[in-house]
Amino acid sequence: MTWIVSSISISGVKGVLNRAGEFELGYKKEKPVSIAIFGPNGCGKSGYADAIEYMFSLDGEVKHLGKGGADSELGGKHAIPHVLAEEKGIAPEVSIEFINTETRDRLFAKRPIQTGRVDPRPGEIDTVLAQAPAYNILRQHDLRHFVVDMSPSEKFSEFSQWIGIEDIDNILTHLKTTQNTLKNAGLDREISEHLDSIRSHTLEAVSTFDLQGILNWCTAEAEKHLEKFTPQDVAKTIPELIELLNKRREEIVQQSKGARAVQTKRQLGEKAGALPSIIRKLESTFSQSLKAEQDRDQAQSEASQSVFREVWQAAQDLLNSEKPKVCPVCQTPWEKTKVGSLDDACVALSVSLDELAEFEAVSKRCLTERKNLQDTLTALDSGLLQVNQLAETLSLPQVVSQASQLHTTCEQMMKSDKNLQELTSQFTNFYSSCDQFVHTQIPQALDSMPEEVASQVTLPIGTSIANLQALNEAIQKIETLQRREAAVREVEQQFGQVADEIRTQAKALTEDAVALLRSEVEYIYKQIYPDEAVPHVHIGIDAAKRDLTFRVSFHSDDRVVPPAGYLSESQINTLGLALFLSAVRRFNKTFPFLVLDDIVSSYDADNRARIVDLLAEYMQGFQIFLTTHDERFFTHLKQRLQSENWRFDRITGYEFDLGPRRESEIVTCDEISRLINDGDSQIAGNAVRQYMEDWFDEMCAKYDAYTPHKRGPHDYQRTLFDYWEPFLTRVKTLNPRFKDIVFTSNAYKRLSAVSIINYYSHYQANPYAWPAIGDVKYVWENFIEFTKLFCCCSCGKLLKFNSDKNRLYCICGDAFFPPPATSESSD
Amino acid sequence: MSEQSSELFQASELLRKLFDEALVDSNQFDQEIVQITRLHLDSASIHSKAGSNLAKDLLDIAEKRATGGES
Repeated sequence: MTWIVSSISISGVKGVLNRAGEFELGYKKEKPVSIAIFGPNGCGKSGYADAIEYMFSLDGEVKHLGKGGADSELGGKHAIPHVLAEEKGIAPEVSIEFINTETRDRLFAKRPIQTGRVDPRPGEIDTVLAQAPAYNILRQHDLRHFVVDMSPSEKFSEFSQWIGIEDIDNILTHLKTTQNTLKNAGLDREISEHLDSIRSHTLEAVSTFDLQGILNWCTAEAEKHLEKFTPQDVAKTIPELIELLNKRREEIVQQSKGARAVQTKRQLGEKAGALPSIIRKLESTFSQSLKAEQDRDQAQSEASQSVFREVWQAAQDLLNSEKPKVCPVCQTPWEKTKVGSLDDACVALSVSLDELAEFEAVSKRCLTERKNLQDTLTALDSGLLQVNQLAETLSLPQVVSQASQLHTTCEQMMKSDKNLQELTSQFTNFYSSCDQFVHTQIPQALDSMPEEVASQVTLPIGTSIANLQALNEAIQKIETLQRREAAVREVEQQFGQVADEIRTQAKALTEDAVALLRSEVEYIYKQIYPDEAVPHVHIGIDAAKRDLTFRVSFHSDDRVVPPAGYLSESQINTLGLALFLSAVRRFNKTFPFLVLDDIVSSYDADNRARIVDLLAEYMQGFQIFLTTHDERFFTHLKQRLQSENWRFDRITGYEFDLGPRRESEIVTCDEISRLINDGDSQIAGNAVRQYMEDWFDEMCAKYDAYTPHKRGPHDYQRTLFDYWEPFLTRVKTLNPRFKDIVFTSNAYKRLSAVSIINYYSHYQANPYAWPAIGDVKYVWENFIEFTKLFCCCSCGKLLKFNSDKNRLYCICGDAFFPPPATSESSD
Repeated sequence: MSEQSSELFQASELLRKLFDEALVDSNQFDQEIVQITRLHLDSASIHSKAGSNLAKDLLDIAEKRATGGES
């Protein structure tokens, strides 16, 4: 199954905005149509190649731009859309229609230009490329860069892409990454750190991972502290030695004065820690007691007139039962008493009795609160006494003094019979002092105790235990690390076998590919340099190392040399071109499409002509999208391939806000008439010249007229005169009647009378210069009249020529020469 | 050149043959490692960090083997 490109549409991409981006290709006479586009520098030619490359690339990459961000020097993906596309509302996109030459199936793929990461290739492209893996876009600057500038590994990557095995290159790269990561995953550094720890904790006595040496050192270290038994007899491991030392330390702690000091210190800390809650309680109970006392005093004040409760009770009974008219106490009539009446007197008595009851309750609560306060003071006093005693034991005089002073104050307050109101100030000062004592003075005193008191006896043992613990930990860590290291190396070795197998297969595959291409590379080289000794090309490829090297040898394969040192620029480029073309030709037959962007810059005219031949013959059957800024190359390509399935377009201008202006090179008579009417002598004249060249070129080939353009080495120097003379010479050998018709015609006489044919040719200093539009019209009209001499006078079709019989004829079968002046009518 | 020749140079075909034929010999290749390699490298679109990711998985296998865990 073979796919070819039917049409390409490019809009809003690089320099191409919304014109000159449409290409109709397809196929004609069962062959794909190719196209060559000529244009000067900076007119948007490469934009076509970039757009097509973008379309075919996996993730929208244009290689020479790369994937750089907005600040990239190269430009990156963001440079692909035309700068004005968004402003003008043009969606930047590329679309290609493919046609299957066997089934006539069509595939249409459209790819919008995406500058972000997510940019999937259309599935239709995958379908087309499935059996055509070789890279199909080549630019001039790729050639030398590939042969000379790239490192062997870069060459390998590039070559992998050219022959369509970039996935394998990708996998080989990943294999290398994996192996490097495994190799660098060594644990030596961590092991070394733990060895440093061993060295440090054995006081430089052991500097290697010597288990017995470490154990011996630990045993000797333990012996310094273990008096009653020899550690070798009871301890075989470091943990056992640590256990022995811990026991020994505990024993010493239990026995030592220092240990008791530690205990006492701890007790003092605990006692001091209990005092704050008692102090807070004291503050609380004092407040409650004071409140109760104040309530009691208030109640007492209110019931001051009710002290004779029993009397008032009796008086109330009397008043309720007998209803006297005067007060029984002072014999004053009720209306003259303070209360004013008997009833009011009864009410007053009731209120007074209630006040007395309230007074009793408050007095009882006051006693309770006072007892609580007393209990709290007792507890605080007890705590202060204990602190006092412990501080004396620890010889902390300031604590002893303060505790003693607070104890005295506490006792005074317990014994005081004063009202709490009177003691308020004293209480405030007391618990403030207590608070400062427990929160500041005691902690400071404990902190200021010399450390040796707590640890001077056990410190050496503790140091030894710490060393042994560190050594034990280091040993365990190192053993763990060594196990991991061994496992990693084992996996590394096993993965290495898998990777080696993949590399072996990839190596065989790439070597096969190179072997297939080598002879073709030399063939292409010889086509471009036929007169030179063709160097034997050595393509050294090593997939295992991801290396590709170029070497050439001239006389003996024993002496191979790098191309850059011995070949010219164009010869180097030829190597790259040969490799590229041979890869496309060999691997892309199911999609024979390639883009050649300005590939002949470094070649001289002779070599360009041979490249034309190469494209015409070696790449026959391939569909080529070619751009060039070299007009001679373009012209020669046109002369050589116009009769084949090639189209020739010319970019005649460029406007930034419109894009390239493209015109077809196939000039028609109507087109020329229009151009003459337009009046531009340069444009119309060049069109006339081109038409004449094309006509003579075709007729010379048709009549077997020998002209230098048939594989001559200087085709690009041909002029109209080069056609004119051979063609007329050939005409003279044909039918005498026909010869007379031609050579006696006015058109022939006018054209040959002046050197006009030759004058407006390539061979002149300025072959495109025409003096005036009238001259153009004159030449054109005479030339058209001249061409009609070669058409059938009956049907008007161009006469055909049978080279075997050396005779002219027309397929209409009628008389094709004009009626003779005599009776002769035909040959 | 025939279509078969083109197919010869397809990476996927090369890998398929490798993983289905050449690398299945358990006497020669550790199958656990073969499988983890296939997981990372034998796919239509290979992750851009497949090499690093594969290395991490291989180190995990080594770690499990070192600690006696099932791998």
